[in-house]
Amino acid sequence: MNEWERMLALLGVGVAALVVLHGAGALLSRRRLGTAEVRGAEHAPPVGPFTGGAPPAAHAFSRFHVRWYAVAMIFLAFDMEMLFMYPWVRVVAETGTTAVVEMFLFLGILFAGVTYAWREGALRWS
Amino acid sequence: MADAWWSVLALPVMLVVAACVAAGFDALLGASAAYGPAGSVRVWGTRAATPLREARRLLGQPARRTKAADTALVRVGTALLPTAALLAGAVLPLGFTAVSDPGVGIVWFNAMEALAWAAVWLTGWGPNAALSMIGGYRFLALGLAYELPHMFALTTAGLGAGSLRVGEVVAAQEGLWFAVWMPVAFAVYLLSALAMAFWGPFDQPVGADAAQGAAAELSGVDRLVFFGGRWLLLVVAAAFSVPLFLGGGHGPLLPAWAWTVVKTAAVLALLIGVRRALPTLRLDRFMGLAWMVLLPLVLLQALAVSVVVVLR
Amino acid sequence: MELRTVLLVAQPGTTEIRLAAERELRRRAWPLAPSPAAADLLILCGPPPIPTPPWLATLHTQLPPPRTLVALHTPDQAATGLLAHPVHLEGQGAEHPAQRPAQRPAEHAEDEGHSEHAAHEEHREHEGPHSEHGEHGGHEDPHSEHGGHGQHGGHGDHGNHGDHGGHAGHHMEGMAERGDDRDGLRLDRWELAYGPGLADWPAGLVLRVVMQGDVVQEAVAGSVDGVPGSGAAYWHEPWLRAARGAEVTCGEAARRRCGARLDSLGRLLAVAGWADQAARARRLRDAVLAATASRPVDPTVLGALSALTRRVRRSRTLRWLTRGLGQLPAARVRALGVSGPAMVAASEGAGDVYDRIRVWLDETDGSTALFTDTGPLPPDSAALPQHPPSAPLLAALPEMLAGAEFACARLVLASLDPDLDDAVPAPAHAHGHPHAPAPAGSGPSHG
Repeated sequence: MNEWERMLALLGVGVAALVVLHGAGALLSRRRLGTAEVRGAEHAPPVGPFTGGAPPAAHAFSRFHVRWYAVAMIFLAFDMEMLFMYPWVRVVAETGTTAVVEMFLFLGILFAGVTYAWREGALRWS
Repeated sequence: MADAWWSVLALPVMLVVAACVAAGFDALLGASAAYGPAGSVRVWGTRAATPLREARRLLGQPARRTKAADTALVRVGTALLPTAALLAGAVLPLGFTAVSDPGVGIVWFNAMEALAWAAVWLTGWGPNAALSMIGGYRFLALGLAYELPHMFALTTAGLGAGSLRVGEVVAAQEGLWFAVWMPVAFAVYLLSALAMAFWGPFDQPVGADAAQGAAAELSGVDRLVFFGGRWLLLVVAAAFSVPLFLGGGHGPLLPAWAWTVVKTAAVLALLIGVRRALPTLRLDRFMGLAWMVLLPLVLLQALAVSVVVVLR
Repeated sequence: MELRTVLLVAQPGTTEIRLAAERELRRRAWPLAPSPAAADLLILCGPPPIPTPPWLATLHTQLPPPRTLVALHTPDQAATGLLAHPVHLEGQGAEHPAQRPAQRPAEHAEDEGHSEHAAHEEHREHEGPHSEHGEHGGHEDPHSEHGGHGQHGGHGDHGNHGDHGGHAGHHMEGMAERGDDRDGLRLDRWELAYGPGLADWPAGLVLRVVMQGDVVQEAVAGSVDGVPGSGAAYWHEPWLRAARGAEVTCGEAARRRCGARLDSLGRLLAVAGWADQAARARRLRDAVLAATASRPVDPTVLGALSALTRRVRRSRTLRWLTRGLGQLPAARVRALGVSGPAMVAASEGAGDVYDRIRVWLDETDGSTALFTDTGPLPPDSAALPQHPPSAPLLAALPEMLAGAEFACARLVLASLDPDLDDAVPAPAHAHGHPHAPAPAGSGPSHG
């Protein structure tokens, strides 16, 4: 097996283990409660969501107010930067000073953006 | 690079055993706070076995659905958590051999660990319940806070070795551990290890205030898989700090595999202890800290390391 | 011993039962569950109201099978065997489809509800009208209809539950509607009601909220339906007894107040996610409350108590997380008639969550010196407030919670910690014997 085939094999083992676990759960619950009751539970109507007892007026599936969306935008910029950073790691020693200067100039510019966002209050929302 | 095919089977077993031991240790700490010191060895043993008994209880619990839930998403979300931990664990060397040691091992770890974002959010969204959805979204906010410092900590270790292959990062620490000359990256990595397993002060996605948030509607095997997966993730995150910063299997006297186990256990104990010392950090407060303190610190660390690498 | 995970739900007026249940669960090392999904045993403090209110029926069906519901009618029942009193829920509302008889879970009751309804008698002494419950007038006498609600469809009483904040009629039928939000956006609004089954939640409180994302836009506090107002606030009981002329020592009153503060502190620390210190606060609370004049508080408990308060006070993280949160300034305190720690916190500091925690810690520390004081608590020393001390806190909640993120809202609520059973009958006067501790809900005794 090469290095990636091993990953695939590991994935297979993990998925198999999860399937076995769910199967064991089904078996054990039948042994503990009896098949009839487990089947009854499986066909029971679904329960409402828990908020402490009272039912909600609407579905929870909704457009959630994500108040950190500005952070998500800055994050994306930095995350793209990581695409360059990983390969850069391997060539710093060969390329020398130029590589360091270029990368940290780039990071400095990005971080200036973060500082601006911070001063605008994008990192605090509550 | 290991040639033993059976390591593919051994790794999951070892991770599960490590997770059980860690959970037992955590249960002991929790019980001594909640019930006082254990009076006898029997009590001590019962307390340490609580996670296993809880697992057994959940395994025998039939499924339960919430109204208009997206059950498939919940299944995928919960299953993704242990799967991500397992796949990230593939690059963990025990001693000097890992299941797999690809040339981009650090990136692989990063990519797998980031699947937790999807896992927790899907688990939170699926049940169509307010509290679990709040919890799921909290993990995304947590991810935005911890992931960048985390990635810079990872790259800093790679930078020190000039390689993204985990085996070469370990080899580069034969003389001096990276934790010694890049302490900030190490500290930031440990913080982000807590965060990626939404553990300790970063447990807001499954916070007590929201009835365990993303996990609020999980029962039975789904619950077991979710929280078991979280333990695996914590173990893997702690274990990865060993090859990255603590010299992997290097050390005197003991064989390499024993050093890996000892160092992993020490880091894991530290991470478990931290949770007991601090209340949950709210993300609206932590976000600023992560971006304005942790990020510049770890960037400066990366700069310092790259200067050393160039001058070397 | 089998491991059971317990959802513990306290009704108003059942503080003593809740404390007994928590003690017993600790003895058995049974963990408390944060939600029904995590639990397999629902323990209700106090007799189940008849007919079964929707919130109780809902909580019960939300347990994964096999579900067990246990109602504790007296504090003693906790110790005599938690599982000895399983209950059938009867008279569940017809408007709750999940509770149609066909799907009613199989129960494990051997003796379905004889003893428990008999046990009602002695615990319904606080039947008197509670100011908070005015709008829910017309609770039917539970005994008069006992026996007949197995299959009834339309109980006249169910009209009461129909007005559950306008929720009950349409369960989850719609998608969320949009509305203006705090930040000037138009976003989906969730109408929800939190409580009474949430963990670390004031007993019997129902908070009706409009949420957008995890931000509370509007909040109204009320209490659960179907529970008669309690006249006996456990945390005020020594002062009430003294006011009635009974002999109460200052030591007992001091221990009770210390217990009240530790109870609040435990709840807040649990909400703040500091489980270990919350557990310590609760363990110490029970140790302090278990003491009597002849069996004083153990010195190790006193040591642990001061270690706990020192630890919490020194936590920079807790301060960082709670500073500036939920401010109730002195002007609002006066306008609303707030008494107790919230009042002290406003007069000594900014009146935020952290200040209120500090007041609790101060009062906890201050009370320990009086633990062994055998002097009588003078009947007129009880500086009992004119209003139920929690009523102004409930009135303050809407303004304090609007615009708060869910986690902040929980902290604010926990820091006010309204106690729905403290409808204290106002005594005529209040003059202080200098050492007599003031009752739990009112101002500080020191100073």
